[in-house]
Amino acid sequence: MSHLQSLRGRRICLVGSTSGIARVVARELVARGAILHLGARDLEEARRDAVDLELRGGLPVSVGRFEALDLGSHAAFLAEARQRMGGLDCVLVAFGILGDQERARRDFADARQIMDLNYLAPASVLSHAAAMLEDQGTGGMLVALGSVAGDRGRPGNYTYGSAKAGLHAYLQGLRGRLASAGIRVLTVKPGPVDTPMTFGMGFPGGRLTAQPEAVARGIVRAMERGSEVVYVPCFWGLIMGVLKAIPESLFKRMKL
Amino acid sequence: MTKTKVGLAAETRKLAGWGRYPEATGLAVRPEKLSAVRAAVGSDRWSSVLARGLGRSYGDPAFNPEGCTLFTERLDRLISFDPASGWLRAEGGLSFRAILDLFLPRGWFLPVTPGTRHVTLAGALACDVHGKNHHRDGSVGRHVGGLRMLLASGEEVECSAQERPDLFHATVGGMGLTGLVLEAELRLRPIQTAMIRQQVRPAGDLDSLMALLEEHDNRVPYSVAWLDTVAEGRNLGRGVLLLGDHAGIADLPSSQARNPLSRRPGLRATVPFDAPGGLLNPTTIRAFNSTYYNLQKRKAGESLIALDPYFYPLDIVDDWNRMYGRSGFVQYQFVVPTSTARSTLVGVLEACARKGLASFLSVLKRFGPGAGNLSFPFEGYTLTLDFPVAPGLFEFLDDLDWMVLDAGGRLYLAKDARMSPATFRAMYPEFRRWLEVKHQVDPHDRFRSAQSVRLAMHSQEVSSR
Repeated sequence: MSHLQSLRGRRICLVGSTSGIARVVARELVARGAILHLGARDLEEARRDAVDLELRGGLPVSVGRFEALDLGSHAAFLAEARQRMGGLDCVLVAFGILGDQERARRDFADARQIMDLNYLAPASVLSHAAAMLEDQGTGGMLVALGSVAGDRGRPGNYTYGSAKAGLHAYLQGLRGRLASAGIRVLTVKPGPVDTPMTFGMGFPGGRLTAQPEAVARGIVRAMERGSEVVYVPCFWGLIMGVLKAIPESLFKRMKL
Repeated sequence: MTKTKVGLAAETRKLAGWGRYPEATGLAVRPEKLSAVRAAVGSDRWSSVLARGLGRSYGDPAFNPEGCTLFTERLDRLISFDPASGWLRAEGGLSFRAILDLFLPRGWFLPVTPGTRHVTLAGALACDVHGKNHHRDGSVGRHVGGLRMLLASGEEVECSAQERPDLFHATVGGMGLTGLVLEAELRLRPIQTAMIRQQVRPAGDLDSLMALLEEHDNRVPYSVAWLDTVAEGRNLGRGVLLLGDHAGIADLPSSQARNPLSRRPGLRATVPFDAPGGLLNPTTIRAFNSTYYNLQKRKAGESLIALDPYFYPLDIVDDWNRMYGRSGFVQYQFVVPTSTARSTLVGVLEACARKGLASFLSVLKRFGPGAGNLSFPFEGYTLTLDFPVAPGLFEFLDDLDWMVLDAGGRLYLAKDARMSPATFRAMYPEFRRWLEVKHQVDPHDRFRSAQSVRLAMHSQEVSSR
C-alpha cells in the first residue's frame, strides 16, 4: 500500500522557478494547495508567475531574487523564503543549463559554467536547505532535478552529464545523512523535455521528448509518494537500466 | 549563454493551418518569457515575425514562412480576475480550454466561443471569432477590454475601444498584423450550471429553416443550423436548427443539481494517421449528410446536454483534420446581407449540387453587427462549407466568390487559403482604413503572414501612394 503525503499547506521554495519544468511544476503544486516561494534571477518574470499561480490556486505566492552563481547569497535567500512563507517544508531545486558541449570542449570556461550551474550551485542551495531543515527538526523534503544524462557519460554532453552525476551522488549522500532526521531527499531524473532548454535542438526521436505537463505530474506524484529516485517519464528508468548495463568497452564504440 | 538568457533558439518546422493546405517550411520560436518574446520580435535574425496561437485557423493566416513564426501558447499567465464583474486579464497565449478548466468550476463561461476550445485569447481576438450567440452578443471583440500590445518598434502600448481606438479596431480581427497582443482583457459570463438546454428543430427546406432561425434568434442565445448539402429539389437547404441556452439549477435533475458546475468530459478519440485517400470522400460525405439529417429529425425536441459536447463536438476527436487525408481541405465561409441571403444560399447550394460537391459539415447561422475594421461578421447569414482539396476545386470556389461578392458578402480571413487580393479588397471596404493604422504602427511590415503576403496587406501600399 502506497502512502500518499498530501502537499496541501506545505511551504515549498522553488529555486529556479522560471525554468521550463519548474513553472509547470508550480502550477501542479498550487492546484494541490501548496504554498510557494519562487526564487529566480528574472524577477519581472517570477512576479508574473506568482500572480498567475495565486489566481490559479487561491493561495499567496511570494517571490525572491535568486542568483545561482552568487553562492554567498543562498543562505539569506532561503531564510527569506522561510520568513515569507512562515516556515519551510520543502526546497525544490530546478535551475540549470544544458550548455553546448562543443563550445565547452573548446573553452573550459564554458565547461566550468555548466558545472557551476548544474552541480556547484545546486549543491550549495541543498547544503543550506539541509542545514535549515535539520535545525528546524520538523522533517521536510529536498528535491532536485538531475538528468538521465548523469547516469552515463556520453561524448555528446558529458560536461552537463558529469555535473548532473555529481549532483546525483550529492543527493544520495544527503539522503543517507538526513534519513534519521525524517527529511526525505528526492532525485528527479528527467529525459529530454520539450522546454526552452531543448527547443530547436531537433532531438532524435521526438517521441522520446516529454511534454512538461507530464513531467511535472510525475515529479509531484513522486513528492506525494515520498520517492527517492524517480525517472520522468518513467520509461527512462528502463532505458537507462539497459544503457548502464552495457560494458564500457562496448559503450565507447556506440554512437549515442 | 546568450541562448539561456533570452530563450531564443529557433528551429525549422513544417507549418500549416488547421486545414493543412497550404503547407510551408519556416523558422519557429516558442518564447516563454516576456524577455524572449521581446527579443524575438526585435531580432535581426529574421526579416519579419508573426504570432501564432494554437493554429486553428484553416488556411495560411497563422504562419510566416519568409520570417519567423512565434508560437505563443506558453505565454499563458493569468494577470487579474475580478469576480464581481467577470473581467479576466491574461497573456495572449492563454487557451480557451484553460479558461474553461479554471473558471467554469467557479461559475464563469466564455462570452463568445468558436467551435473549438483549442484557441488562444490573442488568436481569437486576431480573428475576431464568433460563436453560436453572434446574433445576440456579437463577436469576441465586443467582450474585450484593454489590450497590451508589443509593436514592431519594440514599444509596448495599451489600447481599447476608448484608448487608441484606431489601433484597437485594427487589431480586433486584424489577423495579428498590427503587433503582438501580450495581454488582453476578456469579460467572462456568469453561469449557474455546466449544462445546456438544447432544442432540435428540423426544417424540410431552406425557407422554413431560415424562418425558424429568424423566429428563434430573438429569444434564444445560442442558435445554429446544420445544413444538408446533399438534398436537392424541394428539399434543397433542408437542415436542423440547434438552439441552446444555459440551464439554470432548477432545470437540472436533483442528482445533478447538487453539483451543477461539474463537467462531463465525454469521449475522447484521436485520428492517429492521415486517412488513406481521405476517409471523407464524396461518397461518405453524401451518406453522412442524409444519415445525420434523419438522425437529428428523430431527436427533435428539448433535451439537457453537457456544455462541452454542445459547444465543442469536434474537440472529442483530436486531429480530426487528418480525416481529409494528405492533401488537406479548405473551409469556405461567407456572410451575405439578409436581403440577398436567400438567393445567394440557393445559388451556392445549387452550384455545389451541379458540381457534385458535398460538404461534410455545413453550418448556417444568422449574424449580428461586426466589431473591427477587418472583422468578418456583419448583419446577415453566414454559411460554412468544407471541401477536401482536389483538382478543379479552386476554380469552382472562384465562381462562388463572384456570387458572394455580387450579393454584397465577404469571406472569413480565418478560413481563407486562396482568395485573390482584388477579391479581398472588394469584400473588405474598411481595408483602407485598416491599412492607415497598419502603416502607423508597422511601417516596414515587420508583422507578416503567408496570408498577408498573398493578399498584399502591406504598409508599403500606403507609403508608395
